[in-house]
Parts: sequence; C-alpha cells; structure tokens
Amino acid sequence: MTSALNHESGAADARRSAALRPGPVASASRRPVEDPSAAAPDGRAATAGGLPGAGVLAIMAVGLALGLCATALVLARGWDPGAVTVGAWTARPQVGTAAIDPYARAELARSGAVPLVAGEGLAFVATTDDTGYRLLRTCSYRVSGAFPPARVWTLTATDPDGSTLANPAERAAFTSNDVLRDMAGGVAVVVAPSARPGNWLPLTGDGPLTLTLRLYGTPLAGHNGEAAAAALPAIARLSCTGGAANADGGTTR
Amino acid sequence: MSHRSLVAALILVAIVMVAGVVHIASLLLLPRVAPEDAYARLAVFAAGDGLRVLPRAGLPGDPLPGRDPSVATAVCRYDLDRGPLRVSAAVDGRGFVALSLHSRSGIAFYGLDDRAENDGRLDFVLLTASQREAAQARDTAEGQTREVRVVAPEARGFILFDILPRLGSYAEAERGLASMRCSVERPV
Repeated sequence: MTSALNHESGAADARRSAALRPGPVASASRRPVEDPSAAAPDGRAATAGGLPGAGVLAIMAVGLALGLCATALVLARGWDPGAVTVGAWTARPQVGTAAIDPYARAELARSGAVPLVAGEGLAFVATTDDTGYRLLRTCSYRVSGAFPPARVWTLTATDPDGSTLANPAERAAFTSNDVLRDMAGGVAVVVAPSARPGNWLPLTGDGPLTLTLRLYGTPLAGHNGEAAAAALPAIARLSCTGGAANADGGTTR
Repeated sequence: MSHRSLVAALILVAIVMVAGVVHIASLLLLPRVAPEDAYARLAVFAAGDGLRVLPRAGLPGDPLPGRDPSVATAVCRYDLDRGPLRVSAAVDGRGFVALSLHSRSGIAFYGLDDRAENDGRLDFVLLTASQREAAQARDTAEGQTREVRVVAPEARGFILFDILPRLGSYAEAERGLASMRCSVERPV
C-alpha cells in the first residue's frame, strides 16, 4: 500500500508539473534546482500519462482500506457518541430508541445483541472500578451506595461479551427483589472469587470482568440529562488474588 | 509550497475523502447486510410462527448475546405483509412484565411495561402505515374501536416478551410467558 502511494505521489507530481508547464524550457527556468535536467521530468510525465487510471485506483484502494479499518476499529472499541458516563458506569440512553446513532446500530448488527428499549429500562455498564483500574475476575469488589430510582434493578457479572460466568453457586446476578439490605435499607454486593457473607456475586476464571446494572421501569430511560445526574453505586476494589493478576490490574486501564 | 508537497497534500485529501465516504457507507450498510444480527439469529432459532421461549441467558442454545439472566424472555417474529399482528400479554402482578418491539434493521422502536395494562392485559395491534390507514377507514364505517395501534417502521421485525419475577422463581416467570400471545389478526 505504501509503495503504491509513493508511486502515485511521484506520478501525480510529474503529471501536475507537465500540466503547469508548457515545455521543458519553462520547466528549466522555474525549477532549476529541483530539475537540473529538462529531459528527465518530461520522461516521467510521459510515463505517468500512460497510467492515468492507476493513480486514481491507488487512491481509491488506500481510501477503501483506511475507511474499512476505521469502521472495524470503531466497532471493536465500541465508541458511542451518545454514551453517558457516571463514575465507572456508562449508559447509552439512545440505543434503545429510534434515535440510535449509526455507530451503535452497526455495532449491534455486528454483535447480534438486542438493546433495552427506552420504554422498558436502561443499562449501565462498568469495566473499571472507581479508581479507573480494569475490573478483573481474580479480584474482589464491593458495589455499594445509591441505586437509581427503578421498579426493579439487576446487577450482573459477565465477561466482556456479556456471557454470564458459570459458577457452582449458580448465581450470575442480584436483583432488587432478592438482595439483602442492611438496617437502613442500604445495599452492598461483594463481587469476589471466594465466598463472602451477605450478598456474594461469585466470580470464576480469570480475565476482564464486566458489571451491568440494569434498571427496569426507570424514569431515567431515554433522557440523557437525567441519566448523567443519576447517583450510581460505587465500585471499590477490595483485594486481588495472585501477583500476576494484581500487576495486570495495575497496568491495564 | 513546492509542487511536490502540494500534490502530496491533494492526494492525502483525496485519500481522506475516499476513506470518509467508505467509513460512513460501511457503517450505514452494516445493519442491512450483517449476517449475524439479532433478527438473523432469531430467524434460525424461531423459524415458525408464534411465540418461542428463549433459553435462560448464558445457557447453551441462547441465540442472543448479552441478555439479562434474571429475565425470562420469549420472542415473536413478525411479517406484517401477512396482515396486522395482535399482541397480548397477561399481567398478574407477580413480576415486572415488559414488551419491546424491534425492526428488522435493528431499531428498537417501541417498548411498554405492565403499568400500561388494561384489565390485567397488555393488548395492542401492530401494523404498517398503510394497514393503519385501512383500519382507520374501517373505523369511520363501523364506528370507533378502542384497540391500541402501534405502527411499525418496517414490515418485518420481532417482539421480545420479558418477565422479571418479583415473587417466585425464574421457572415461574418462564411459565408466565405461556400466557403471552402474538398472532396474525386478519390474514391478507
């Protein structure tokens, strides 16, 4: 691709030089340093003139490759201009509406996932803890604090593709119906590989972890401003098992 | 600026413009040609008419990625070219019930939950814009009807019926899906 670009650059340069100059004499007088020989640029121009389509073709090919690369990159990174970030949580309120942006729509088409419709609820996704470190399945986290207004919420631990983690306790999620609350009505869920008292959301395996908080029947759905102002639970890292996992958690964000 | 750098700049601009057009075109085209989008996956899973209960999220055979494992879901694929679709879901207060409507090309165009219930049911008729006009013409001839009409942006798509159990288990919610209905109202 690079060689094609260089070739095109030189060829177009020569073509342009030929078009601007009536003949070799003018060329010599205008560009005496760059073109000391009047015969050379003419020879190049003649060669380039024989391939007028090749240059355009090369530009098209490079542009096509770059354009497709840009699409693939953006879809792989999940970029969404309409995303709303609150602490470690990110929601995409427009994904569940007819106003979905083309990036989110293409991403959904590629993954095959179905978004939560605005009339049903809103999903917040976290891939880092509150300090910005990537969530890992070998670490323990406490998810506690305010849960936004909703008729029902669910908190789910998955891998980055959204697949639940198989575990002997057969618990992939907590809901507002089955979570244990403290005397003041507060909620704290511990997401950890080893068993904990209270609300324990088990982790298995290693690699990155994604937490999803889905709010059903929430007034936040479909409204950017309100979602941004929502108070969401904090995600605090408690500990990590294994030095490798710890080091990885410290370096990857 | 020398000719050489001017030409290089022009070529760069041309490449960027081509790349931009390709990028935008591929983004817009993807939802129409993606072989593995939700509709295509559901077409394999629920090939026939009527309602199909999806396996619990994360279990083998689940056709859609990234679903909520706490929610029991059934799917109804529709093709309004065969006639308007009557949709009905029972609401018994034992769980959170929600319906979401998605078009073939991936737009979530309508959703409602059990607060919209009437006499313990969520009922509506899904139709195309031209079918709604025909229905309105019938209304004026036969008197007003009380049915709720929802216009779909495309003739094809799918409806997800969700139940999140409030009391009781996931299995009970799954049984609750059996009372959901979707059927072609007047075949054309």
